[in-house]
Amino acid sequence: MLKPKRILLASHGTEGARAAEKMAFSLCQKQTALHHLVVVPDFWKGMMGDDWLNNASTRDTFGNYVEGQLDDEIRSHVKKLIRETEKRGINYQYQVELGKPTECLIKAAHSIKPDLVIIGAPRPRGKTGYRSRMKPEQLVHKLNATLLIVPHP
Amino acid sequence: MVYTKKTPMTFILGVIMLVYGLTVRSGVLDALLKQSGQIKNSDEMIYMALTAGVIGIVVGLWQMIGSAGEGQMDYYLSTVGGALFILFVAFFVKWWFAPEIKVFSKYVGKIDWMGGKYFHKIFGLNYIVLGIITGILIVNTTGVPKWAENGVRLSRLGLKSGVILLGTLYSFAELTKLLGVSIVLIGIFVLGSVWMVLWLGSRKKIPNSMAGVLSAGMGVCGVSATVAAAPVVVAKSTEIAYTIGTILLWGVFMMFLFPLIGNALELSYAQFGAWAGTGILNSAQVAGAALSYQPDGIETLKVAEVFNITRVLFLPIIVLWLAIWYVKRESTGEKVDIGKVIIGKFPLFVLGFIILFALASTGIFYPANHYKGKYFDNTKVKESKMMTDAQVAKLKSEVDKVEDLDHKGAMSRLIENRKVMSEKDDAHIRTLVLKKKVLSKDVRKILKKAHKAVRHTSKRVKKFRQLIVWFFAFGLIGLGMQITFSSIKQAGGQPLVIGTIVGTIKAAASLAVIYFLTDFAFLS
Amino acid sequence: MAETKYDRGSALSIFKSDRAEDLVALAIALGLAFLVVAFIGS
Repeated sequence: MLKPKRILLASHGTEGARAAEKMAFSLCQKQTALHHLVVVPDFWKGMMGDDWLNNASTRDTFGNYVEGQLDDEIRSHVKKLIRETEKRGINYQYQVELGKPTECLIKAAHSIKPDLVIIGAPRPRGKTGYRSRMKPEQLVHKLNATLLIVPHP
Repeated sequence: MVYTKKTPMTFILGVIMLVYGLTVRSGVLDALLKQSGQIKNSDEMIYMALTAGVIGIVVGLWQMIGSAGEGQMDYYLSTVGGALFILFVAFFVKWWFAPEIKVFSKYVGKIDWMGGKYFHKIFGLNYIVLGIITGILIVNTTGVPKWAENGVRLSRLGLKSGVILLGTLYSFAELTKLLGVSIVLIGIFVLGSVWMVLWLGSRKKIPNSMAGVLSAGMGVCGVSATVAAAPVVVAKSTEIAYTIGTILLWGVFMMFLFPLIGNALELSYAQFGAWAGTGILNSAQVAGAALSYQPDGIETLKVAEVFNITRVLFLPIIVLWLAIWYVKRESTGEKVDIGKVIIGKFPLFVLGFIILFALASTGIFYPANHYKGKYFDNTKVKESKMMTDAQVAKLKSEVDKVEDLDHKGAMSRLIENRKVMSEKDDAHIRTLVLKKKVLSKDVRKILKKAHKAVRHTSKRVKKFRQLIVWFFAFGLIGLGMQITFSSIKQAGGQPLVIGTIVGTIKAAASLAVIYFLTDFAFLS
Repeated sequence: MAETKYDRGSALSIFKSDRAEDLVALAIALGLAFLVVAFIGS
């Protein structure tokens, strides 16, 4: 049985990620530190695409609006996790990064040095959500810790 | 913050450009340029490459040796590298890549199963389209280099300058005619597709916020409208991602599809411009498709841009409509400030376009009474362009078929003098060229020739056209560098389904309308 | 979206507002128009 001291969990609240969260909780013991990584995908940077007609105030409004939306989503997600971890008495921390999910996870793993990394399996076809997923091949090559992929519920 | 990057790249680009300009001037490359048909552009190559080269060398040296402190000079000079980067891509694609593709396409020969045309013609593979593709490829593979990032932000400035300069090329008659038609067409299709998305949305029971952003995006000008509408209808982040992904995907796709269909149906330049201006979602790609359809001239772009500007002017109206629609549906109790929406969303550069148009109509650039950039002067008609006896005989045989007395008079005077005698006559002759049911093809051809003989393009018009095309090329290549696959990949969900339905209907319906408007006045 | 790369302008434009961008575009267009008039005969 795994007895990890430090777990790195990558999740942004989708169905598959929630399965990963549950798995993480079940693996946490008294002394385990649960480190939660939330990645804001960097495709958002390209989301104003080739717009050239709007004036700056419109673009700012849009930028702030999207930022606020993403912020709200992350905050409510993290709040939920804080509640659940408190209930279970787990030592919980979180971190938000802007970038590509795979790269951010590898970077976080190198700085946190966990002994277990938990992610959810890629979303099955037909389910809605962003197209910005972990690339398992890359993780397998570059990750310096045990990787646990939790199947989609 | 100091923006100047210690990079040798600006200097290196400058040296490459300078050497290229000097090489072309020395004539070493003449044989190659003749082979690719670019010898006609050698003057342009020399002055563009030399100017850009000198700027690159001077600024590049300063960036390498000088020590930049914070300030205006640091900020603005740091954009030079990126501007040269875009120009470098433009030079390469316009003078070498696109011409070589043309040479290759001619070598392959006409393709029978594609209507007996060359493939570069069919796919509209000219330097504008290839430039945009190159931009997209660069940002999605190696990425825009760090030293160029700051300057790539100039692409919007380039496009706006191009649109404003374009104002010089319209005559009053032309612009009012085009505006009239575009307001009708855009009105019908914009409002129609907004309404259709809202209707489909309520049938498919998608959230109001999703229907709101999607309808703006499909109706007016793609990403721009989505950006403007998203906060108004309180769209969720997935909805925005789906919608913008869908629109970007469609935009790139349509830029290729439209010229393909236009070529197959042999649409006229004006027809194609009107169709692209109505049917293509993203306004940058409207310009791209127009230039792709007619890379050596500007008639298509002129029509397409008037449609584009009309669309931009519809943007505040749509945002307002959506705001009111949304507030009503969701009863948030917020009040919509009409004045604020209109002023906040009004694009100022359209005024610039109008200013230059007004200046041009005073005749300070070239004779004001031009038609499509050509002014009337029948004293300059060369003897070789005068009508021959055979042509006169041909006209005489059909002049009695014309019933309208003004038209008949103009044609009689033409027969008498072997050239068009007044501007008014010229207008009548131009109308007669379109009378397919009245006159034979040969006669219409002769009339068209006579019309062309008394119309002259001013050298300044030619120069303006050249400048405008360069601004658009610069801007579009730079915009290409901002289209990322990871954003396009977000296309999905209901927005992709509804967007595809409405986008297809809009493109097909506007094509049908424009196709059958052939004889309508504005397409002459 | 927290872009801190540019403390002036935005990720899309070097100008703070595009009122400024529009005005510069107008200035460029006017400048070029008069250069054309000055150096090229009609």
